[in-house]
Amino acid sequence: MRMALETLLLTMNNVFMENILTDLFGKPLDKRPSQRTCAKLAAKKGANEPITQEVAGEQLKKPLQKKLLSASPDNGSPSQKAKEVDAHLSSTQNPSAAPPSLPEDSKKQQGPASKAAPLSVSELTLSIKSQLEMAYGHIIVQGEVSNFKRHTSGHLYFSLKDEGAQIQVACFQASAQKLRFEPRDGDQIIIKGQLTVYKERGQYQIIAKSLEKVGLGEILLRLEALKKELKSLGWFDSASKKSLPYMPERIGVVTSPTGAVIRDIVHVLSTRHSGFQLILYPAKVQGAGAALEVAAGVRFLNRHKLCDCIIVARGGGSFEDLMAFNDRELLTAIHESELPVISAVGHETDFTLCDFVADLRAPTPSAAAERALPLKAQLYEKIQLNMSSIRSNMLSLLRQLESRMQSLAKSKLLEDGSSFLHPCAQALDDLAMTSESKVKERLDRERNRLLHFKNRASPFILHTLVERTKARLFKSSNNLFSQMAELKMRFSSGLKERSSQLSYRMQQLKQNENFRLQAIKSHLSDKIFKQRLEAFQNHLRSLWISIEALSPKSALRRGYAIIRNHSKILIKNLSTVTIGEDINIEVADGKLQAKVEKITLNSSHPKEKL
Amino acid sequence: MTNHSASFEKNMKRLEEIVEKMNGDVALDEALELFEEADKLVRTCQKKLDDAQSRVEKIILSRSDENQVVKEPLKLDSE
Repeated sequence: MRMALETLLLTMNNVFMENILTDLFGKPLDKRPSQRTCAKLAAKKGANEPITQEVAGEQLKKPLQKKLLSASPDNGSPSQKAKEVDAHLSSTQNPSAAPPSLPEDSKKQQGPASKAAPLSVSELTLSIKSQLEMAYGHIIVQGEVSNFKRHTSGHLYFSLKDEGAQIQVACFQASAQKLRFEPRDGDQIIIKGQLTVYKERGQYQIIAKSLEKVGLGEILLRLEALKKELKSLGWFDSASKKSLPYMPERIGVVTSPTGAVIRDIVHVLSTRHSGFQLILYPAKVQGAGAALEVAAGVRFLNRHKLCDCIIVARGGGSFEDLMAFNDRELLTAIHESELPVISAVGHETDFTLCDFVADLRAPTPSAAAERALPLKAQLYEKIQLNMSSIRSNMLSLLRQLESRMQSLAKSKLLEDGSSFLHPCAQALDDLAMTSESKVKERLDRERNRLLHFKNRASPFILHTLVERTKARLFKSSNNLFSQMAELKMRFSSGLKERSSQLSYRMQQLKQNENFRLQAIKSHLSDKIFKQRLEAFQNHLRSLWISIEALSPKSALRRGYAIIRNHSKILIKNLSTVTIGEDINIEVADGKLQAKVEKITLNSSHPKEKL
Repeated sequence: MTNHSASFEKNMKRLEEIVEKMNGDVALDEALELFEEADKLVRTCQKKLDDAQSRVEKIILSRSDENQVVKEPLKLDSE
């Protein structure tokens, strides 16, 4: 299938020489392409090799002659020209030439030149072009890139070389777009394409249809196989992906300790949160051993529970640079990680298997940092939002409580605690009255007895007796009264004490509840009213905007007009207008006075009446 | 998962639960209790955010003992 560059050129050289000479001298030369070249070609070529030396030689004879015949219309008719060529060829027989060089040929052509006209440069070039393009219409060639240039048009130009030769290559934009890599000087590549001759410069070059890095195909195949296998193992299933922590206390990063990646991550984290914690596991991220180091990092952070999530990161690079992140050992470590892993390898357009196995794929290391850590401001906001919702609920509950308290306070029972005491006081009075009347009764009885004695006994005895009795009576009466008074006093003071205690407690109870209400209310009100005010203002603002939009003034600004008749009534259709009537037209920046001259009913609304 | 972040996450979740509950029908006593709890949670969460200090560290790999965890502050190369 493949041809070494030198072989290609050698083959071309031989085919070219042989055919030119064959055509020029009328029959194939004895000298065949060297045995060495043929052997080499035979060894290298596969079944579908586009050309072989022999076949090419046969195939090329006819087209060349045809081309020669048709390529020179200026020099007479085709048959004429053919004759000339034949004559020319037959006159320069040189069967023993082995192989003659072109200068010798030209010398020999000098002789009979008077008989046959020389070929023009265009004729010769066209002949060469047609032979080469026919013979090398489909080639696959391997070599080293040098002098690589990407034109602004998107076309690629470079030389393909090996130790012995080089050849120009052009790869046009349409093909260049499909390349899986950017060729660089020194790359060993395989080109599929065709050979063309750029006749304006007399150059031949390969137009490359596709380029492939040597060995890349195999790598891609292996990668594809691994991808399929891991997919069938369920390693890519979204169901098995772990979710990232809400707010990671510590973020583990496995990447190179130097370079932009870790710097970018630290920078992004510090813009999001003033209190983040990062722990870096330094690892090589490209070249031999990189995959193992990164895998070791993932395992280390897991084993020692050093963080809440892991970012595996690497900056952009070539396909080969990122190969470590397609390594099975690393993919296994990520799959087995108990901590969620974010893969941030390369740029947005780069994909590695690591991206598929990780719990989350971030397009860049910076993006990974953003995904790992929530904005501190957002956390504050969330807390505030929750709390204000709780507060407003609380407030409405407290309002209910307050109104219930008020209705309780209004009830008579609690209004004045002493109302309990009224019946007691009355009973006391009753008691007192009864006692007094009983004392009086006894006194009266005693007095009557005395009077009785007085009437019967001698005055002196009576007198003493009366005095004595009087004193006794007085004494006992006094006792009785003081006892009564004491009793009364004791009873009523007890009542009073009770009553004041009761009302004090009631008051305390009320005060406490009020105090609690006030405290909670003042705690809540500031923020809530501020929020309400803001919400109200926002509402007003949005209302104002919609009112503005609805206002006819804005319609006027857009070129509409308002037409009123002389009595300021809006004219909405023709039925209210008469010819000669004065009308008033309002536009955005003023008013016009006009007269109706003509009324034309819109033909598309024939049903509308005038 | 380290304890601190777990508690922050737990607190935030509890706070959301309380919001949910208080949006429904709650008795006054329960509401007061929930309110007090929420107030505490908010204070704790905010304090957690307020107090947090950034720390950027690098693990120093030890050849002799794989299980040893040694850290040092990470110095980034200047831009």
